[in-house]
Amino acid sequence: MKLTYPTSLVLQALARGSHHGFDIMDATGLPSGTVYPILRRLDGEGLVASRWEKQTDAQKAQRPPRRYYRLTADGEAVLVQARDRYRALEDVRPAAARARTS
Amino acid sequence: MREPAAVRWCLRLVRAVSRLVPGRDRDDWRREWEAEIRHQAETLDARDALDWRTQMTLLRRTSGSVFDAAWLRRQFTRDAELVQDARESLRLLLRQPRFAAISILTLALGIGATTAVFSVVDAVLLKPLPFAEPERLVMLWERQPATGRERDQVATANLLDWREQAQSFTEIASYVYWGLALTGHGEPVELQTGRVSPNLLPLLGATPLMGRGFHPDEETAGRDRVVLLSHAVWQQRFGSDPAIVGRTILLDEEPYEVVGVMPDTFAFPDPETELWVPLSYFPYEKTRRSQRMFYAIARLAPGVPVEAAQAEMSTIAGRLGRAYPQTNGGWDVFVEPAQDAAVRTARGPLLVLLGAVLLVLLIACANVSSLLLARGAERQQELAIRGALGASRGRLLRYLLTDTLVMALAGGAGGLLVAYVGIQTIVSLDPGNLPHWNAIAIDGRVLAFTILLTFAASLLAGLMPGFSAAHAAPADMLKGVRGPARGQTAKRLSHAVVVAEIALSIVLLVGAGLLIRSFARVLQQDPGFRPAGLLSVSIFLPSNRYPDDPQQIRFFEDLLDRLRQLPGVTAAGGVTTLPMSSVGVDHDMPFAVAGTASDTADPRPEADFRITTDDYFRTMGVPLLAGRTFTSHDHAKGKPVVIVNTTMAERFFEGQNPIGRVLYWGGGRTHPAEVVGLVGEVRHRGLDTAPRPEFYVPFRQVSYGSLEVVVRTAGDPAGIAGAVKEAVFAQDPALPVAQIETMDDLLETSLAARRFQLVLLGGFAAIALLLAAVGIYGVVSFTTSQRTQEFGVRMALGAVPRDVLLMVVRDTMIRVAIGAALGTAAAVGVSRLLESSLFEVRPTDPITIGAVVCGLALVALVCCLGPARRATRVDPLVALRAE
Repeated sequence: MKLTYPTSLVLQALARGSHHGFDIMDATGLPSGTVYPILRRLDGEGLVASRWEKQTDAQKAQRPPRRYYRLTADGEAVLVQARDRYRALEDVRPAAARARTS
Repeated sequence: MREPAAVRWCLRLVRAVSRLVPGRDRDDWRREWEAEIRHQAETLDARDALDWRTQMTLLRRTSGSVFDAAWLRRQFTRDAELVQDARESLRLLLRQPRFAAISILTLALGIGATTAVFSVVDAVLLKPLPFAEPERLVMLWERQPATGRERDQVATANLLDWREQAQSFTEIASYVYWGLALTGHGEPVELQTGRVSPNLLPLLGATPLMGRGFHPDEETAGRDRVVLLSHAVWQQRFGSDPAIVGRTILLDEEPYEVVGVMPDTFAFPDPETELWVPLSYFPYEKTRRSQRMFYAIARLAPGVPVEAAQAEMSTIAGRLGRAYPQTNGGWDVFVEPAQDAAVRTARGPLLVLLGAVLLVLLIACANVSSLLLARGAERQQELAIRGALGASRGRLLRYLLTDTLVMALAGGAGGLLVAYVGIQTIVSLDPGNLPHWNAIAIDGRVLAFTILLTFAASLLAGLMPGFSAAHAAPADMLKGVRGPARGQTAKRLSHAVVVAEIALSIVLLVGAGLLIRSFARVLQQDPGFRPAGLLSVSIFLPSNRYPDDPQQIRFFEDLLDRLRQLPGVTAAGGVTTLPMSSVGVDHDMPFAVAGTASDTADPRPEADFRITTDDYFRTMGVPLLAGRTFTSHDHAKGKPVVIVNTTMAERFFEGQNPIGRVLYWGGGRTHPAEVVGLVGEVRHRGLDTAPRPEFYVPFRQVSYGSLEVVVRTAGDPAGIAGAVKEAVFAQDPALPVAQIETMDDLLETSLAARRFQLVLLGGFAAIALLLAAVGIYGVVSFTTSQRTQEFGVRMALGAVPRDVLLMVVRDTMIRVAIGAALGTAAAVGVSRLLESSLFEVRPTDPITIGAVVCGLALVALVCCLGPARRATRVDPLVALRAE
């Protein structure tokens, strides 16, 4: 697959604990029109798996269930290549330390 | 809480944009975007940070959903194109049913035949043996490199020493094929029995369906009267009796306790095994080192590789060789993975068949390729319009390949039907050489292979015509001009297809031709006896009722007398092993002829050894060349006598008359016997195996409890089978009658392996020839139609029809000659793979190759005559006006 810099950023963000579309935008600074197609492509290629948040968890937080993305084993392997290629990936902030708003 | 205006706008935007998203993804897409927007808004609100700036950011972020939706839509369109192309291809195929039928049938034949052969290869060669951790199972053989014996069975004493000394195995088990007569359940019947050491079942990881396996102490003689039934025997002979375990049955008239029933999936040593009894050794057996009659199977200890086990066993064999030089000197042990041992005889022929069937598939693909090239020419304008409307070359190629894929899918589905029939045919033709550990059938693996094959075939058949059509110049095509470049490319490709088809067909036809010539040669061999009119029956006398020689001799004398009285019977005799038969007792007997080099040879030479009754040679039609045959005077108290065959006389009597000479047999000088007769040689081990030195001894002097009785009849031997059976029962009603067969059937069975390979390879060659003929016809028709204008011009300029005819024929025959040259070169290389299956025919046999090339050239000539004659009927005026 074509490993672009934005794709690598998304992979890195997922590895660092950002699991939802908007969180990934926060972590990477990429716009939604870039992040979502990347997620769809990664999903199609099996590098990322997605599932829906449990209804009960969402109800507790009084909002609709969110879609949750995570790296697959293949995705992690590709991320290793991406890290070799783009040293700056280390700058992607972990989820806990990310900015509250963009 | 009422949502802020920005959030409401965001949600509205998402709702509007969602119309862009393909229906199958729309709901999920909307849910995801709405959840993210709400989550973000609530998080900001909770921190009192939902001001106009953050609301604007949220709106900007939501606007990105347009790109997301557009991306999904583009993906969907690409997928939809495929469906659209497939639908279009189907419509086109239905409009050209003849083209569709020929292409699909061709692919179905190729894919089906390949699938059928693959299913056999998969079941026999690729799937592991159906036992626990089969990769750790090995066969142990005794081998004597000096005499070329690679896989001899094992002697008891050696086996017991291995068990004691070897560290490489967790278990070593032994077994031997046996037969036991079941009585007391209707007609006495001989059941195929495995005498197996009690540790065999645990070693294989097998457990009985009911009851228990054998206990270790049941290896001792006296405690071994227990039996395990096969599933089939339990069902058929005991009506699936649920209380069978614990019951006593009579085997060889001895009581045996049924201790269990094996599941129907258990087939060891082979699927014909009906009973298992413990392999117990008599005390004298435990010291035997030269009678190698047991098979040994072992389980490697965890982590021990075969090489290490081999090294250890060779060390042990060396030690035994030094300790017992008489019996073990020069003997080694061969450790062979059980999987290799199981498929050894089947691997070569199966791989040859797989190669052959892949050639058929290649020819089928080439055929479809040539048909597509021709059709591509007819679709020039349609493709040009698509090109002019903006379809890229890649898009056109995709469209054309989808076309082939649709045909290939139909061919693949038809191929499964062909494969089903093919598998039934292969299984019914199988001479028993194919190991049946795993069922040969269309299962998930085979299905996956067929799907893969279908895609591969569609690429193979479609790529070349696809490239050719997609790369043509659209402008020329639109004008309907058959531009020289375009015409030349398609023509050249078509010619290449003909050359390839001829070459591939020659390889297959030469292979089949060589096998046919070999088979004819085998059939011409003189078996050494007259098989017509002979019927044979196996008689085994149980030792408890016939313990002594005189009883056994009397039984056979009386039985033969009784048989001779039967109407139509002209002679009757008996022998320990019949020619072409796997039943009976075969010996390699050491011997020496007094006063010749063999008398001092060490070790002594060995010859085949058979015990016969008086009338055996006359009954079989084996010619007596000198001296006499056995008579009733050749009894235990008379002078020991032997009869030798011509091979033995020529090889071991140093050019002298063997009659009257003394021969010692069985080692030492313990059995001196006078040679009283010389008989013709018999091809005992098959028509394609040269006769070996052989001598016969009279059954009154060396009595044996098991003989193959043979009767000669004036009429149809199968017709008196019932009478023969009755005669045996009249003599002893408790005696099972097994293996009643005519000698012609035995002869036929001995040829079955050869026939199996011949029929399949011949069948594939015939399909190849048919496909090649269709292909040549199609290509010549196409190239001729492309040249209509050229022929018109030529005829307008004075050419006569004969010139045009010769031109077309010459052009075709040049391709055929090139294909034949390439094919012959390939056949000479490839046919060496068949060498082991050939008989008195070299792989480069010029007669076979010549006949195949001439035959194929003739077929090609016939195929091109039709289109060539059509070309001669071109009206110059019509052809020129078309320009």
